[in-house]
Amino acid sequence: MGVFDDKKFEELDWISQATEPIDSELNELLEKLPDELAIDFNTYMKLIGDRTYGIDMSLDTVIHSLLQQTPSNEFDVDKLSYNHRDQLKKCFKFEASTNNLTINFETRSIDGGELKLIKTATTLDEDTLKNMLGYEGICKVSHIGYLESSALGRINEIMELLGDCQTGLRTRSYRRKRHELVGRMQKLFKNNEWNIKDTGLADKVGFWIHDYIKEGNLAALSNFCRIKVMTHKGQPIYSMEEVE
Amino acid sequence: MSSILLKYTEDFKVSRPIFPLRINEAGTSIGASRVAPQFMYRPQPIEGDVLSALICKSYEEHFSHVTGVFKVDRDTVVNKVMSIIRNEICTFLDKNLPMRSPKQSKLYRWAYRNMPKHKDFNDGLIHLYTYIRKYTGSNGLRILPEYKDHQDNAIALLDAMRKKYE
Repeated sequence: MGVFDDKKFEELDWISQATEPIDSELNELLEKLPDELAIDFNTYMKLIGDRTYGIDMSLDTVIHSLLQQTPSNEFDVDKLSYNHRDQLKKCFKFEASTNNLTINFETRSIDGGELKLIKTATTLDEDTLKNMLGYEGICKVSHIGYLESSALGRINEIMELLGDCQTGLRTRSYRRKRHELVGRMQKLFKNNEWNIKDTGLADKVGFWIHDYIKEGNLAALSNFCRIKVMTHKGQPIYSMEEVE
Repeated sequence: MSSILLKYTEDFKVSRPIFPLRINEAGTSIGASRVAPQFMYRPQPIEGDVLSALICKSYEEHFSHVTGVFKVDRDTVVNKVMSIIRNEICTFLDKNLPMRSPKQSKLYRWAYRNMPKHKDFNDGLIHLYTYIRKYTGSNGLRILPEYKDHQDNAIALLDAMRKKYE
């Protein structure tokens, strides 16, 4: 195996290699969440958790609760972003068998019918995943905050590697540079110029850029350069060997 | 605190904790914050009793989903009513003191800033408030012209209270 090989792509079956679907950890997580959940009184109370306010329930709270209860070794559910949670939320809805449901705290029951949480989509569709590509990374770069003067040189290096950043390279203003860099990244992922097919990997591009600009992290630069080299093959990129 | 007002709260009950579940059209949230009307408790004021009307208006119950019951904090209700009465006394002075700018008077400024808050004083103030309300019409706290003597009485009583407690 070479440094620039994409193990994940090579392990895909021939249909996936032919269709090149966008891969996302969120789909795996979505798979782990129940297809249907009957909500009785105890489940209701468990889902709203130990908060002290109100007994209204929204998909936000339910998804959060379900994620907390889902054993996941691959990733830390607490670190899921709002955007990720929002996307998961769109795959669920509440359903009631009648319009006369009541929650009775005297008898500790839900009366008048059945209340359910239904999964409406088993996977996130391609368009949703396409819009998610690089989003978290771009957010991180756009909130990069105060930079010391030496970081301006690093921004220039990144812009040179990304290409098509002439305005950003010319300006001496840090804000303009950051603005141009974010704009370039948005364009890059909108057109998926690098053909990255994994949302997690696409997000990492932004994280590496952030780490290199902010802290001068050379491992991050190395990873960024590796993925840039991989794009020259013209193949879809699902994974890469990272430098820690 | 006031023992007169506390008596009014003795018969307070609470709503039954039964909430209709309302799912919104998109199915993204469930509203469960309002008690079904048939299980909701609201105290009814005694006809013609100003204090009872105030107490009932200020009634407030709180639900805790941890304990599963509604609770009414009587002290809070009483304090709320007491605060209304204090404000109304100030309004009364503003509208009835025979001066061009009542807010500049010693009495108003005392009532606005320095009225004591202990139990005995509160009880006295409540009696005075009910006395005032007897002679005010529906038009706020202005004493009706035919009760001019009572207006003077109320002001004199307040002034006496000021002298005693200041």
